Amino acid sequence: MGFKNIAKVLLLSATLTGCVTTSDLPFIGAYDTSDKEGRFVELYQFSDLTYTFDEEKIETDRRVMIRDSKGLIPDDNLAEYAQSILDRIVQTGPNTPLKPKVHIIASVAPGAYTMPSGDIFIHHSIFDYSDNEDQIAFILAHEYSHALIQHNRSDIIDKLRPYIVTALDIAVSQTDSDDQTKKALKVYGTDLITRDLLMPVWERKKEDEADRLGIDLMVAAGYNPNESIKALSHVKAYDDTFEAIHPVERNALEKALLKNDTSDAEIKKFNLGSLTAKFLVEFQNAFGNRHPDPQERMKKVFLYIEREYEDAGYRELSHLDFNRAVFQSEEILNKYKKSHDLELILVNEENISTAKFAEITSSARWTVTGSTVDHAYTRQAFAKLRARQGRFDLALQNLDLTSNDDGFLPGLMEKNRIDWLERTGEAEKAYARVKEVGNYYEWPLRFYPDAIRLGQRVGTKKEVSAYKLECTLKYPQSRDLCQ
Amino acid sequence: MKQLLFVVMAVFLSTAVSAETWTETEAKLVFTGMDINLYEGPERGAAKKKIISSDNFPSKIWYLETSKNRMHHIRLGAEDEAVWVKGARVKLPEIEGVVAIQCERNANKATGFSGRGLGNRSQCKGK
Repeated sequence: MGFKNIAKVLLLSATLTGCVTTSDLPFIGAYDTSDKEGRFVELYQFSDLTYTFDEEKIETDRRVMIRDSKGLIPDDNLAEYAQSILDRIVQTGPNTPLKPKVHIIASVAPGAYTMPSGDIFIHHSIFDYSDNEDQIAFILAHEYSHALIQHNRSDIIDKLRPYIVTALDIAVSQTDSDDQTKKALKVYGTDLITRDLLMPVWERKKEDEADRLGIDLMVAAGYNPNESIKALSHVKAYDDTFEAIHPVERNALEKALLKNDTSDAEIKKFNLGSLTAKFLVEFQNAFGNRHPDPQERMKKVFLYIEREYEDAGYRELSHLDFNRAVFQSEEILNKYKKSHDLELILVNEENISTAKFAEITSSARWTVTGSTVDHAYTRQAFAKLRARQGRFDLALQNLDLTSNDDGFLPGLMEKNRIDWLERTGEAEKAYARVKEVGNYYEWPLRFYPDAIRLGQRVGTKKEVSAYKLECTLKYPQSRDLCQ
Repeated sequence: MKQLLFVVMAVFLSTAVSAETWTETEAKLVFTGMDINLYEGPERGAAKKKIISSDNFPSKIWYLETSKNRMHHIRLGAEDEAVWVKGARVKLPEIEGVVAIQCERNANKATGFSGRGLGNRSQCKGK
């Protein structure tokens, strides 16, 4: 099949273009420079970068985060505390015009993100699984590092994708593969191969860079870098505990390939011919490992600390402000835990007795009292309980009692609202809402099937055709869902 | 009578606090394949007492305390000399507790979804 040739042509053509350097290339063997001596913050040329503020982009980013999450915590205490840590890191870091803001997303899973605008979003669970400020400092410093180095996915895609796609096209045309393989590749498209298979390779390098710069920044701000290992161990535990499912969105194909799953169901989901699927598995193997293994990553971080910051590893850990912030927000954290437990019961237990319903209803009522009375996280769980009881009217009431953003709730809650409106015989209202929400959130894939289905019931043929076309053009890899 | 009780309690508590209580506990290496340094004290500049390969690190050790910079005061065996080891290298689950990592089942996002994230595997176990 000539996979080695494809890799060679890809690397060669990307290098020959003159627009990329070897340091921009994927993390493959000889290009791994993570063991280079010296502190990242001193080696990196921050003065070469231009940082720009775009108010509109910041708002778009925030909206995307809310759309895809269970909402932000509408409480200032934890956000202000996290902001104070980040401010300290920013102050003692490289001198740039960035002024990142921290937002707390309601989620019990570990997670943190940096948006291209520089704003940082961390899951509230960081206050559950951390036990001191140093661990939070690492997470924030790591995220801020992505903004400092401008690890903006779209930048890299914009810069490299045309070269990669061209190189791949050339490589494929020059391979001695049979006509069927070439046809299969055309069906999937080299552009999508780039997005789903090659971009994750870059991510590994980016995570390594952000880890090293994150350590530099947290040490400069006075924290103990060894706590980064503890923070990363939560990521490892997360990886160890949960298997990936396959949402038909970004990297879905890559996740399927990680499992080497080319079963009929998977192939059908991605519109792949079996030959294409086999080709992609081999192609993926030719490019080696995609994601940093958490164990390897922790080891790399530890070696970096030992090499550059052994003394800082003896600093006392910062507990005082951390304990105070967590204590002050204890009510919220406890109620969120209860809401999560409630959702788990609803998902895991198929038959819930009347007595059990009474018990969990009482718990759910408690979660929407006091300071969490209008929180999306607690209201959402209560709403789901009501829906499970068949009380869609009460479920909808819970959504109405949730604090909103420009009149809109997080995407998942809005999707539930559309479903429940439809179930209560309000198809026209549901259709009107999906159109409003779709426009507000710039039409993520998940709203198209609703718009198409409801359009077929209460809309016009013209509208339905338009949604189908728009959906297919926007999400070609998921076109099954656009019918 | 109450005063006597207070004195007895005070003596009991002070004895309990001051006595060295070594506890046998499970030890887990944070990562393998690297030698582990054992130090004389928890402070910066403390001399290395011993270097042990990860293969030879026992799964059970004797534990006394953890310093404010997360160095564990341990003995490899009941009769061995006391040493300090970095908490970044050795986990003591029974002492430190185990953090239960949760999964947000119904959220569409997890680490690394939109911007750059802390990690990049994501999502919950599908049912």
